[in-house]
This record gives sequence, C-alpha cells and structure tokens, in this order.
Amino acid sequence: MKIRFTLFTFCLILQINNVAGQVPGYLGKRLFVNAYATAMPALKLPTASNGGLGRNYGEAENRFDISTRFGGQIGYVTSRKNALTFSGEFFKTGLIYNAVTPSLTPTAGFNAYDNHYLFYNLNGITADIGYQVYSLSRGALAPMGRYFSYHLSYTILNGSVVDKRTELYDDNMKTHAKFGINPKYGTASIGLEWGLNSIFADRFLVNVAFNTNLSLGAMSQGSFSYESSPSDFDDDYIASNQANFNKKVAERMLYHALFSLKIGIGLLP
Amino acid sequence: MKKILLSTLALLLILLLGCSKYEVQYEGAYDDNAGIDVKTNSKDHQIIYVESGKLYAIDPTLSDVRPYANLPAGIVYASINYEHDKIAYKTATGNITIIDTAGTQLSTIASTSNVTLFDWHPNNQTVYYMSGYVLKFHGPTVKTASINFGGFFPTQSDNKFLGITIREDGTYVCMIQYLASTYQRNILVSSLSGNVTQYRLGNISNEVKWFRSALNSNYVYFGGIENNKLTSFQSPVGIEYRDASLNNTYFIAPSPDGLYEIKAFDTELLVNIKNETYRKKVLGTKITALDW
Repeated sequence: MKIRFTLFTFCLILQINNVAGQVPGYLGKRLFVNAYATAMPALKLPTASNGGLGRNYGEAENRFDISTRFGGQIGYVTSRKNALTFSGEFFKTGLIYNAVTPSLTPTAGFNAYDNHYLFYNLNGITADIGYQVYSLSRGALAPMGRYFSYHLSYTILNGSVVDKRTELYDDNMKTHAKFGINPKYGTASIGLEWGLNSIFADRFLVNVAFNTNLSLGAMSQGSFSYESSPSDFDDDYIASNQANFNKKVAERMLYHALFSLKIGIGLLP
Repeated sequence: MKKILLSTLALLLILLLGCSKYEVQYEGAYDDNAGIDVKTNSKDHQIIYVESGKLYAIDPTLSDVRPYANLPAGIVYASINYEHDKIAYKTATGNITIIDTAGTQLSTIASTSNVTLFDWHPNNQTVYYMSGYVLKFHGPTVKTASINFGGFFPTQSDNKFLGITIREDGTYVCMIQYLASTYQRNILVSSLSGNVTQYRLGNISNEVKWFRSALNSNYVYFGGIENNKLTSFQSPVGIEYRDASLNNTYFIAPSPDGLYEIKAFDTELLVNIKNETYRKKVLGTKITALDW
C-alpha cells in the first residue's frame, strides 16, 4: 500500500512538472500579428476634418466625428500568461492655433502685431512597446483570452497649416512676418489596455480592447488655459510662438489618445 | 468567423469615418516660407549699445544684431540721433567720432578727448557735448537758452556736469555736482529765456552714469544715484524713483516717441512698455553705453 502511494505521488509530481513545462503560446504558436484601429468620439478638440463635438475651427458647427489611430502589432508570447508586443501607429488630427507676429509696417509702433488664426493638420507616428498579462484564472492562455497590458510609446507629430485667417495690423501690407514655428513635436506616453483576444480556426485572432494613454509631454506643459498673445513675449516672438505651439500640440496629443476603443484582426502564423 | 467579419466591418467603418477631408473656410493652406523673415528683413536698427569696447546696433525686436567691426577697439561712449541715421562714439582717450549707420566715418570733433557727456540735438545734425562745464556744439547752429552755468556752483570744489539733454525747443535738463562738505547734486531745468529751475537732490553717494531723453524731452531718464536706483525726471513733475526691483538697471533709454524704453539689466537687454518686458536679449557682459 505504501509503495502504491509513493508511486502515485511520484506520478502526480511528474504530471505537475509536465503541465508547468508546457510550451507557451497557442498550440505552441508564440508569434501573433494584428492590424487594428482605435476610435473615440472627438469631444473636446477638432479632428483633422474639423469635426467633433467640442471646439471647431472657424465657422464650422459641431458635428459628430471620431478621433482615430491605425496601427499594426507584432506580439511574442514569453510565457503561458505573458506576451511582449511592438506596435507602430499613425494618425491624423486637427489643431487650432493663434500665432502672433510683429507688423512689418515700417511706421508701425512697436506694439503693432499681425494676428493669425490657424488650422493645422497634425500627422502623428507612434512606436509602442507593450507587456501583456493574461488572466489564467479565466481560462486564458497567451495570446488568447482576457488580458491587461502596460505600454510605453513615443510619438512624433508633424503639422501643416491647412487653413489660415490673418488680420494684419496694416491692411496695406501685403505680407507678414514668418511665424518661425518648427511644426515638429515629439512626446513619450504611458498607457494601459484592457482587452480580449479570441482565436478562430486555430489561426485567426480578433482583438477588442479599451485603452488609455497619457502624454508625458502634455503633463510637462502644465495648464492649457491660455491663448497666445503679445503679452507672452518675454523673449522674441518666434520663441513665444514655438513654445505656445508646442503646448497646443501636446494638449491635442493628450486628448486624441486619452481614451479609445480598439478593434483588431490578426493571425497566428 | 462571424466575429472576424464584424471586426473587419468595424475597422472599415472607422477608416471611412476617420478619413473625411477638411473644407477650406478662409485663405487655405499656407507654407511659412512664404512669410517674411524678420531676422533678415528687420526694421531699422534703432538701438545701439557698447559691449566689451565694441559698438553694436540692434532692431527693436532684439533679434538682429549688427556689429560695427571696422571701428577701433575700446569704445566706451556712444549715442545715436533720433532719426537713427548717425552715431557719435568715443573711446576713452580719443575724440568724438561721427559715423553713419553703415559705419562710414563722417567727421571727428577736435579737442574732445576729455569729454564724457555728449548727445544728439533733436535736429539730428548737431552733436552737443560738455567740455568742463561749458556746453559746446558741433554741426548746424541750434537755438538754446543762454545760461551762465558758473552761477550754479556755490563752491568751487569738484564742480562737474553729470548729465545733460537738450530739448527740441532749445531748453535743457542737466545735472550738476559740487562739493560743499558733502557732495551735492542738483537738476537744472532751463526755460528758453534763460530762467532756471533747480531741483536739489541733496547728498548722493553714487555717480550718475547716464542721461537719456525722448525726442519731446518731457521725460528724462538718469541713474546711478542712490544705489543705482533707476530714476526719471519729468518736467514739471520732478524726480521720480522707479521700482526697487530695477535697482540693477544701469542703463535705460526711451524710444524717440517716449512710449517704450530699452534698459540694461545685469547682462540682459530688455525692451519694456510700461515696465512690462516685451523683448529680451542676453549679452556676454555689462554694457557701457545704450541709446535708442
């Protein structure tokens, strides 16, 4: 009896070791690729087409529009419950910005300024690294099932003026000074994602998730409750324009990616 | 499979919604290269300063510095006329030299090697300067009040003119110093008929280093008295001591219209309107002359 019990216990331990040593991944497939889009209604600031339910450029009225991002992800399962992901994203959004330049009228006083009401389109490219943790208690097995992930990303935004309304100090002047703005801005972000991966036919993957991203550049800018004006000119006007532009872009980046729903389809090659 | 189909449709919908085009409302797309670069097409270089013995001109946006490289080293004093087309400068031991704003020498004023006070008359052509305590002129004749300055020095010890500015109507504001057990300093304001009003400043420990006025000359700035406190004089209001935070301001000059002022604060140049800084430029060292 004692020998039988010892043999049973030994077999049980062997079995447990065998379970723990199971090859990670879905049917041993560790790699997964995924194309996705994220979407969220534009509630505060305009989209690239000047839509949204918050502030809009010019005479445009509020209309429903969504802030989107499109991307691709490649993931690698590192253990039964963990996976590492690398993503690349691109997006486009709108930015309202007021630039101020000194009047070029030779006889103008020193406090003579031209005001420029601008609408930018910002093109953003993001590189992201994520770490997914799958919930084994709910029957998940990376990359299948419910997961929670941490993200660190870096975004480069590049703007171009798509519309402009200039109010010259002197209407006889046919031109104005350069804004002097370098329309490139880069910022790191940290993010969290809650998602569900479903696998079909042992090969196809569908991803539905909710994510949130916090732009660190926006956090470092402090308050956004300002408008550019000559009283900001504690240095030269170009430096002031640039600093205010960076603030506005950081703010736009923050609200564009703060919350979003994500839908993706992918493969387990 | 149904989930894949629905997800694909959702992706396509997002793609369609996210790609609508902006409709232009005003002037349309703009490339900033089409604007004028203020730094290379700046307004007049109306402000001059002397830093490390070299003369520089700068525009009111403080963005475009123009050094006068062809001038001798060791310049200490400089003044630009109200029209901003002529500059008078002087080294410590040389005579006053007049140049145009391109740097071409126009003339020198003989026997002025000991002069430390000089400026442009509002006619933009005549330089006036103090030789001892005699007021002299170089250039077209100007109308001035005829004053015997000697009568304003009750003692004959350490008599000195500390600053003078001549106004457009020929009257002037000046500051004198004399020693009567302690140093006394008075501001003299003349009328055209030669009557002089004196403002007694009393015993003041520091030197007056500069004296600048706007073209209309109702407002005169000077400083270097009472621990470098920035001071202005407005006739007939009198002496006005400025905010103590400006104590380290060691030069100030009003714009010709009197609306703005440029000041040197430590190693910074600041353009102010009503004490609010609008432009700032950081220099290497403290300057020795400033004018607008």
